[in-house]
Amino acid sequence: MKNLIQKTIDRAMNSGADACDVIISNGDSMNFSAQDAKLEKFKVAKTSVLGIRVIKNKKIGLSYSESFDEDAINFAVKSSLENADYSDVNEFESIQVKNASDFVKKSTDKDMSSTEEKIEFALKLESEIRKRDPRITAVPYNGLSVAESQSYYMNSLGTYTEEGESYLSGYTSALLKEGDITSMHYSSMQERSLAKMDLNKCIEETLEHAVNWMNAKPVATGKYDVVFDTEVLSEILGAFSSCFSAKEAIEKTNPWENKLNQTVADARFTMIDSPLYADAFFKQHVDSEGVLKKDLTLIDNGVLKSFFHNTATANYYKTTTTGHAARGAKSALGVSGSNWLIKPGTSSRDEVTDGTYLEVVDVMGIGPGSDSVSGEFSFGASGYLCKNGKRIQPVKGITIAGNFNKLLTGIKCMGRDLQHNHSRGMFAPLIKFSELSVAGK
Amino acid sequence: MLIQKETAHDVIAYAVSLGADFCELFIEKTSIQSIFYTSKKIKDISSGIDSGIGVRLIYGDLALYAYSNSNKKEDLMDMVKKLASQFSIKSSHKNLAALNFTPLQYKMISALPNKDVLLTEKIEALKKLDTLTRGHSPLISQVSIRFLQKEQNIEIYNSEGLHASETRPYIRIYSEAVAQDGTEQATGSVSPGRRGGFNFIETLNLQEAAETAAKQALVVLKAKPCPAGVMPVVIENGFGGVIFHEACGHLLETTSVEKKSSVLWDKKGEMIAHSAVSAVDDGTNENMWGSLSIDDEGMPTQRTQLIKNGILENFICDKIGNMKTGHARTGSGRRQSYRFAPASRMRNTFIDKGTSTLDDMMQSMGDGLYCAAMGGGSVNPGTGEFNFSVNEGYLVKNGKIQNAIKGATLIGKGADILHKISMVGNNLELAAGMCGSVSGSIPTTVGQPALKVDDILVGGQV
Repeated sequence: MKNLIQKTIDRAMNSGADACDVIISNGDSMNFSAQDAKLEKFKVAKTSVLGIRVIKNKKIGLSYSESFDEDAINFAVKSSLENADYSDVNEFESIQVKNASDFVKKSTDKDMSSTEEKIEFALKLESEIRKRDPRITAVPYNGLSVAESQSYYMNSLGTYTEEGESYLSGYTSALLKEGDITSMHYSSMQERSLAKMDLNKCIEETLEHAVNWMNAKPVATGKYDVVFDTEVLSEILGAFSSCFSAKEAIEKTNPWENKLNQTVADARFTMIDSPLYADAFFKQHVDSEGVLKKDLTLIDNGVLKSFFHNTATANYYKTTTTGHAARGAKSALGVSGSNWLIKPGTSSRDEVTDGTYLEVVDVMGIGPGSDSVSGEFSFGASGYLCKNGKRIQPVKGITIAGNFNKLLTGIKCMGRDLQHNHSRGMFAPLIKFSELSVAGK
Repeated sequence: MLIQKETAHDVIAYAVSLGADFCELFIEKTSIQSIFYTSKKIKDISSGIDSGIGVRLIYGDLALYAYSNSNKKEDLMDMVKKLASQFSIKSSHKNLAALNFTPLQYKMISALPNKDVLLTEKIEALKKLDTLTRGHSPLISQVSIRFLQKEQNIEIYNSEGLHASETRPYIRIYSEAVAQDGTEQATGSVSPGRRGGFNFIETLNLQEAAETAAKQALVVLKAKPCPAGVMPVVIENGFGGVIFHEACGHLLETTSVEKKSSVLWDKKGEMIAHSAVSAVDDGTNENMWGSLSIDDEGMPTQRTQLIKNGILENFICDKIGNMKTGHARTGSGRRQSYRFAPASRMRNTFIDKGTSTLDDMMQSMGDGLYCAAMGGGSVNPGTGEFNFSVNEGYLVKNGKIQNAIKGATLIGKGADILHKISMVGNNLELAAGMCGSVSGSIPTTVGQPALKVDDILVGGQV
């Protein structure tokens, strides 16, 4: 791959590019889907994409190809240069990362289980969950995926990086029906090997809520304190991640554009982007410009301390890149975060769960229901009405509405123990948010 | 021709010799161009070619799928061998009856000609749209426009002797306006798309598109938080049809029906909606964003009556769905690209027009919510629970439109809401969208006339 990338860069530079970088993304995956005690679908995927970014007369041109033959690469190089001709001058985007040595991290801990064992696992996941409750009428999603990816990057200054991952994902679901009442939940797990997959845990997580919600009803419309499950909290922060984007700030679509060093959250709230966090499932060593990644404090005791920067946004703001460049083989340069850590507070679990509150464990429509520019959100939710840490009523058919800025400043209590989401990319304590608008009955 | 007919024959014959009951090759070459215009500048121009071949084998009711970027015969044979060998499927020594691939004859859905224009013409159109949008008000602080044009060339061979091909041109603009007043910001957007070429942009009313996005941003900027509670709503035409798409359309796809994971799986012939409701999924509308001459399994598309006067008449069915449920295929086997096996998917799906006027509905509603523009949403097919955001909405008092609201969401159950649509307007309009599901993200059209829903839970501020 390195030779192919080098050849492509040479071709672009010899064709008139002032600077250039190339990404190759390779992916291999297998998916086993089981239904009604039979293997229902089996899919094998192998993908390769080469993406070129050229800079010519301070203008950016992009192109990609899924074919790596001579003609295809030549066409991609030619297209990128033509596209640059029609772009406007960009004073800030350049190729400037020059590392002293190559960075190479290949995927390790590859799963060694056989195809038969994987099929058996997918079948067992389905048969086991069906045994647990006679009201299960369908297991709509159930299976196992195996994925391996490798990303290669090189620029015309000679910087070269290579990073890979391999992992398995298991998933199941349960649709329960009794009379006209239906309930469904879905759960997933990720591991490096089949042997580490906890089938029972996945089934129990799925059934816990699917069964409880057979008796769910909406709560009365009103203001409620809310504790979000870590998975849900991760989705909410993801919907408003543009608040941390320097690129969006430049484009005037980041509502926190002018809030650096100002209070944006409760004084107990500290949030760090931690690409190499020890307990995280995915670790990111380099960004899409070849910059070695490191921790970045985004919010420190309630004060916004930094945006995610690539070299282009850093040039605009006259600062240095934070190593958050994000670019796929088919996309333009942007920024993105990695693993998020919200630092623990000081409250015990009993203190956080004191009184009456809503525990929200599932949401619908966070994306379309969130306006990242105005900060307004409104989405469907399911969970439990709780009192002093005890679930007293399963809840479905409600909406939760608020404003992201008020959400972060309206924290009532922060726990001292960290929890994580399914993909182990978000680590946060239990947080009780005060008085959100809940529409129900 | 993306691969030789002889290559297709040999690969399919090899699959059948390994015991496959069915083998299909889906060959694709798609050229894509995108332009991102923001802050009055061309930020990025990108182009590329997606090319590859998907192979589907069916053994009984087990579907196997693999794909590759290579069109070499030996690579395709190897892929077939790997698929079959994963399951220790022994050669059944089946011999394929002589396959004479005859190009499928079908009625081509007319598409706006894919006029070849220079990038400068496309860029000029974006600049004009930007100027018109900003010109609407000094409060418009930003305009970002994404332009997408692609041409998908597909070719399908299968072990039943089918050989079909189609060229599908697509073009779309997504324009977002940001309005700002002090620290308050709000957005509005418009996203017209067609099956066709640049002629669509030439005929598009850019002034109207600019006004729609700018007006929505300005309205939301001054909007008050939406009150929460159960109330009647009138949902305007066009993209309002996204609710039917999510809350009912997905439940009618045999992908869910075959697993009995749709609440409507056994309701054919039953009254599932108010008698005012008739709904259609039509692949044949000229130039529409979701139209296809043939589906991605090579079957000519058709107009499928889903619901007639409230009664469920048909499901949306592909080959596997037909095998597993017995429902007739509807030319609805669709996929994003060669990277996905086909599945039953919607095309241009809409509630058919009725007889009521918007004023009739407002008067009938009295007090409630008027949803002038809907945003996106999602549905749980198993339970039918859905949610949708309201991009532009107004409170209604005594049948008269009052102040604009923001932050509203509609939630409910598809099966319940279908019975609560009591009035259907006479102003049917369709709108382009992208639908994500098991076989990837595909262009679909949603649509409806204005509708009155007697009551629905509106999420908002308390």
